[in-house]
Amino acid sequence: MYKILIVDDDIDVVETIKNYLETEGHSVFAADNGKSALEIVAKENPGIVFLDIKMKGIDGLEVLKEIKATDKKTKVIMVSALLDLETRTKAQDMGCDAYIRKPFDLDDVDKALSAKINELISDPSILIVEDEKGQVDNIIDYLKERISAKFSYTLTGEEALEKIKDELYNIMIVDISLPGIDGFKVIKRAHEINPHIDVLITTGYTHNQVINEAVGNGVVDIMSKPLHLPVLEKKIMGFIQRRGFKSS
Amino acid sequence: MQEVRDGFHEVLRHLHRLTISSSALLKIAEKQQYKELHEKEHMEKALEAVAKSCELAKTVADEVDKLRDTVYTQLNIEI
Repeated sequence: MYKILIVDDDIDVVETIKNYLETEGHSVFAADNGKSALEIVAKENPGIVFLDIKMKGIDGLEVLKEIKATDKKTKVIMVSALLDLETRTKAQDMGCDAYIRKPFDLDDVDKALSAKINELISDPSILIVEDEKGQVDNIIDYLKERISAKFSYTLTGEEALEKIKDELYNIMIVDISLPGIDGFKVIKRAHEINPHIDVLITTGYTHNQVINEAVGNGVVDIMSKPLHLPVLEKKIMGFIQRRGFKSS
Repeated sequence: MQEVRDGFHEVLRHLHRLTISSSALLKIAEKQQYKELHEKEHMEKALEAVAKSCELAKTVADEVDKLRDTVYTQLNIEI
């Protein structure tokens, strides 16, 4: 299942595509203008966007620019009846991932979607922030065998924040007890840099105050130490599927 | 020129809606959900609507073809 956003000012078209993709098992959002589209992107972070170029108000190119500024990995398929060279070049410079020319049918939607899904499947990025190197090695060795993703790690919060500034990570596994900046502060600052990063914390503490504080800081899930790696794998797979990287 | 572009854009916009809706109905037909329509005795109405839509779509296509012929003639483009 993937999170897909359809943006077109022709609401009949949007609804028909939405209904179809929902019957195919996807989670589909619809917008008939650029402003609503950007609100949905900020809230739902869809993996794939079908974006009409010609719209009243904020046009498709403007929306494309904003989406790519928020999350470069969101796949944007531009849609238009008149895709002249100048518009195509502009869209390409702004990071557009594909084009479809109107009129198109639902088979064209399927084809475009499959191509982008294949790209999405290939490269979720996971950052592990954990001060025990042995634990890091165990996690990476275990997950690498089972999940197709790019793994990175740091032993401190400070290093993690530097990495997050330089690279777009989708998932972060953070130990709460870190030397220097603690895990909560790392999560808070990480979300200021990349609001869409999903966070799983690992902790030796299991009482309610820790859990409440963690959830208040934008944490998606919590695991108690010692880590049971098959459970960690399951949770990470859940993140990947929700984000739209893999089919469930 | 911009007016002509906008005009054709509008034509394609309607054709797009027609294409998307027709393909959605085709998808349903492929999934054999028309069987259910038949059982509910709605098949006759569905076929009537399809025939009417087909006629209207043909009329639109004919009109656009006429327009194309006119434009080609005016620009001395061989068809």
